[in-house]
Amino acid sequence: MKTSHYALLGLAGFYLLVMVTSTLGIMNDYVLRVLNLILINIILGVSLNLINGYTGLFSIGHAGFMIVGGYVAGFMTTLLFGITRDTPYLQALPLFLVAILVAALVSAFVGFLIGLPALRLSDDYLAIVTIGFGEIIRVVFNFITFKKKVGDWELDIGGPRGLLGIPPLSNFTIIFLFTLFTILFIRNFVFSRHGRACMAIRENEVAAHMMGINITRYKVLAFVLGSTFAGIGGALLAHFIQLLHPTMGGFTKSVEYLIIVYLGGMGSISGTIVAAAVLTALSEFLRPIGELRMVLYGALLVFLMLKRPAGLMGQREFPFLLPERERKSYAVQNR
Amino acid sequence: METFLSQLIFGIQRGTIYALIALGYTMVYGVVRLINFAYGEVFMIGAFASFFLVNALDLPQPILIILAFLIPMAVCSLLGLAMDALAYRPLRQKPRLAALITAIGVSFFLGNFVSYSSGTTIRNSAGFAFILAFFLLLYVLGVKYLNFPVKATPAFRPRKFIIPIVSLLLMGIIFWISKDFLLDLRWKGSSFASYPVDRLLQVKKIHLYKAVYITNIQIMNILISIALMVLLSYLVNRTLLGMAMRASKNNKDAVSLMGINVDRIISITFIIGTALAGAAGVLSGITYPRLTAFMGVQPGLKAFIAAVLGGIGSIEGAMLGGILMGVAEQFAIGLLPSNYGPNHMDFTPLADGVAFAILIGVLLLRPQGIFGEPPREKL
Repeated sequence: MKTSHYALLGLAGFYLLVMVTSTLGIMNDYVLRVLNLILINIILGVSLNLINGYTGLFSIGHAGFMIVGGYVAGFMTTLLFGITRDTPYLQALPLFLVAILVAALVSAFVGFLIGLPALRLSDDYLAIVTIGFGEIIRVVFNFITFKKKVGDWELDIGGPRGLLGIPPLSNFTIIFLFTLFTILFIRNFVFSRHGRACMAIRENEVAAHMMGINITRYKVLAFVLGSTFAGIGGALLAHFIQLLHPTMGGFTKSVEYLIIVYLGGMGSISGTIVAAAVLTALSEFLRPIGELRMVLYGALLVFLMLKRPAGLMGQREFPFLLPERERKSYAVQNR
Repeated sequence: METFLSQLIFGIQRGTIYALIALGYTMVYGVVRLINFAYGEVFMIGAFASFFLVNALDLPQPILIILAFLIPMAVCSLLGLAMDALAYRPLRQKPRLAALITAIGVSFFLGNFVSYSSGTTIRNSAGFAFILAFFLLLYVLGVKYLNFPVKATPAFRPRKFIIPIVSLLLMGIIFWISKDFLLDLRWKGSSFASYPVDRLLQVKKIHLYKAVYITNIQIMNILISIALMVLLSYLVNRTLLGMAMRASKNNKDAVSLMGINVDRIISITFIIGTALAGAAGVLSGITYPRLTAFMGVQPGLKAFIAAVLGGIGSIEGAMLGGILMGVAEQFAIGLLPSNYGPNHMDFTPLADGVAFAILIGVLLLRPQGIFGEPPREKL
């Protein structure tokens, strides 16, 4: 049997284990909740890794794209489709999927609008623009408080109060499938011709340009893809925690995803998965010490950069995440 | 006309604060090409240092005003020196991205540390410092005598650990002693502390023209910033140290061949930048007497944008950019309607976004800023 078959078996086994134990009540809701959060953080971490790790850009406003996706999806299901927690699940599911799709498209479009002007300039400017974007998003969502009747529904996304009453549509199955989709998509992208172009840009922009790679185009492509998946992650998160708040798009949240990427290793999907699991679980264990957690996060980031700048995994990958033909060369190259 | 003039006065006052922080950003960027995101937190720590000082000391007003500026500036420059030595200097030879991430980490750490160690949790932080010192001591003793958890190598010198352990202990003791004083002030990170302006000076309004007035705080604010900026210009343009700084901006290797210690120049740049940010913090504390642990985040970001607007790396640019930014923001606050239409819409929250709209405009039209030179690519 091939390695990828084992990986498939393992995934199916993991899914069945979680489903069976949670239905039988062996695994309690809290653990399941943490598990779901880990999966959502994996989506956001892997998508940020495509931007920061593989293409070598520096986006520090990932939470901004996340919250755009969250607000779009939350607005659609809660206000546009009028889904409540009493709506039958099978009836709500197709509408939810439509909302996720629209959220992804809107995030992609916003990413395109932000990325196109910023990515033509040198790399520092993307950092500046993404910070600015996160703040503008916060200000705008804080501002839209008015109630306005359009037809027979009311436009009110809550302003500073946040969008409340989002139906709990993200369950383990949906989150699991979307995480799988994200990982597979980004892995296939990275090991395709386009992904190699992105990595060439990371290694040396001038040399990549000399090889005939359209720098701006590939930077924008990676950035837009990253923000698309951030939008999907945001939509899932919104329907999981059932609340959206303008401050969720802020700098603090973005730093959490940055830490996931840099702890795991820039340019390693496996590293991001491990780091998302470790950090999410750790922050649950550290809940008793409260705010000190944030202090430790800051110190951790500095310490990581000083002592282990390549992260946990460096650029290595688990074998089952590598395509068949890559397995030998990748292992040798990154030893 | 009257509203225009008074908004202009308020805007310039707001702008001088941004300009002072922006100077730190632009100077450090000019020499090491590092965006030090922690200036906002230095600004906050400057405001808090002054807050504690003014509350604790009982001196005549003129002396108190001078001390309320000088001591926080000294504290902040020490902080800048420590930041450079601990977090940035080891990364000089690494890719620039690493230092940028470290800067975010430092800023995150400082903000959350102040937030955590405030008010009711002050006892916890004293305990935390003691526990850290204890574990560090255990580690050193363990390695030295028991070869546990790692084997002692010749490179392991226990003496290197004395300063961290002693400073942790001192920090714990200071927190422990000051806990009643801090609790008495009812300062908690989630809430806010109000700066005791009355202890420094009585607020007076001076009428200039019809309803236009200027307060003595504003006059002091503008005068102090101008004095600091003139001092800085003199230092950078007229002294040998300034010449070394300008030279390191152009070519670090050539400068070190001339026998100048570039690392020292960089440290001095950090000291000056953080001292200015500290002064800005004190000014902001006097003008807007509401201090919180995260008060520095927004001014820090806006000052950074001001530096970009003026042309990052250029000192005149940072001054002009800061003042332009302050005026623009003040006009946005003044001109946006706060009670518009039948729905009573309040547009003033949007003023916060003006800075970022300016940023995107600048990046589209003139990415190198007002005084900046377009980047040259050297291969």
